[in-house]
Amino acid sequence: MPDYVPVLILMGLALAFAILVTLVTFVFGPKKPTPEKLAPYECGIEEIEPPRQRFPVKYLTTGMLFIIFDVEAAAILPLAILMRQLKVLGFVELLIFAVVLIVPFFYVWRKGAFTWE
Amino acid sequence: MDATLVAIIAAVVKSAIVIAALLTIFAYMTLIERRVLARFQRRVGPNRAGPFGLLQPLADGMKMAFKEQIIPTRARRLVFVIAPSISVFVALAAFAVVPLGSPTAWGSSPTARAWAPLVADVNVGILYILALSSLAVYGIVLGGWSSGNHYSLLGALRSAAQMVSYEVSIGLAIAGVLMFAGTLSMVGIVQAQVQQGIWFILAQPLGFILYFIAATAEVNRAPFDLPEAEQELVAGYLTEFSGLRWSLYQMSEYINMITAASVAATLFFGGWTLGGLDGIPGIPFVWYTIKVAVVLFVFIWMRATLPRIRYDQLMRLGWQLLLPLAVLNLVVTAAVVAFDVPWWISTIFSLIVLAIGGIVYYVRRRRVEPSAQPSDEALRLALPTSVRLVRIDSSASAATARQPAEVSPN
Repeated sequence: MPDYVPVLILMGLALAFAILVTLVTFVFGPKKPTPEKLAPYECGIEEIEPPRQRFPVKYLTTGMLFIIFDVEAAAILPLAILMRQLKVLGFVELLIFAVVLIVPFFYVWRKGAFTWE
Repeated sequence: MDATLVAIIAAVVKSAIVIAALLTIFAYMTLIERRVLARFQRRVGPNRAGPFGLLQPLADGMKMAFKEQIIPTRARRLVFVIAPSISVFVALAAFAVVPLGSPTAWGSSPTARAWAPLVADVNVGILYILALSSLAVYGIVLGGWSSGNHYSLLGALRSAAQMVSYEVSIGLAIAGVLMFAGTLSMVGIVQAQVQQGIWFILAQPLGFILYFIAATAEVNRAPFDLPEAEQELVAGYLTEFSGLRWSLYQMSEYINMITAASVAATLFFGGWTLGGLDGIPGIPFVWYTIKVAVVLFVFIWMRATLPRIRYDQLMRLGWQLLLPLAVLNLVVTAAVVAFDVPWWISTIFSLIVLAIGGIVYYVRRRRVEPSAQPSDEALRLALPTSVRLVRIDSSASAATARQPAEVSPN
């Protein structure tokens, strides 16, 4: 049996649990909706504008940086576990990798991608 | 019975046990956290339901189940309903590869191995946990976005940016451990620590601290609990959720915390082993539990001690401090492993970095504090009358209390 089958079984049970609880939320509990209760929570005052509108582009920048750096981090892992066998070759490889990671890093730093004031 | 059938039955039983155990631990973690926090604040905490308040989680759960489940009119109904389940599904599934004991505990025949105290010994174990913990952001973002509320949306956006930022640091911080271990399998990492005769925290103190900070941010715990910052965002992405749907989010937060603690215990503290004291069946599980409990206690301790940091500080810490330090740690560890020098070289390096960090922090604090500290006069004007009176009272009583001690020399 492949190693991954137990993982899938646990995932299946976890999914079943999540669905079960979600269904239970519709069964128990009183259901007395009123327009006020169903209005969006706004600390008791009237809402001025709906929330789905433009938001700061910073969040998008962070998301893009995450994709770049996290893919690089994931690509380092296979190199990391082979480091003992690759010895000097592996170290040089990692240095090249680190430079490729660090140069754009300082570039985006200078461009102000990490500044949130 | 053939081996495959046994293996499947074993997997189902073990998965059910893991899920039940995680849910129980979640329930009691809420109680323990409230009691411990209360002690930190010189209160008693919940102690009415059952002895020592032990039935409190049960009472909470019942109450949650029978609360009205509000779906606001502006919510996107389908996404709003399934978002909490995504969170909890991901949190539960991530625990599959955490070893609670040696896989050869019951012998090495296929049947015995099927009952090993972990759900699956996957050879990409730690990568699997990283992958699933990145998915956790979906539950939060979808929940916040679908609520149709300003606070929820802001909380969700903050949370997304925060979790992805610290995800990078986690990946790079544990790469140092993986170099020493030479494997991604959680079991393999523990066995590597036994083989090399050290816990990897000894070789990687810096890596551990980076991992711990990033993991705290990843599971949205104080002082990084900005997605649910009460003072500014009501409850962040949780604002519109009520009853069991709200519980599901709490559940996933606590289970993620347990997983983060388990990863810390496995990668840095030797998992289920302790010296040679893990030969007896059942004992490894005790060591594992103790280690995880200590890490979980530190999570609660940090919540009681540290004030929440600002959002720009959070992003600066994650990108401008943790990430470069993680890369530095990676390069030095790579040198130590590749040139086969003793492991304590990387320890010395880590300690030097930590000492420099400590000195920089101390100097900066010394420089900032005099101006940040308001004068007594300014303080007196800024405070309301009642507080002023209390302050004067307490300083007066402190003065009188001090006097007798000064008079009597012996």
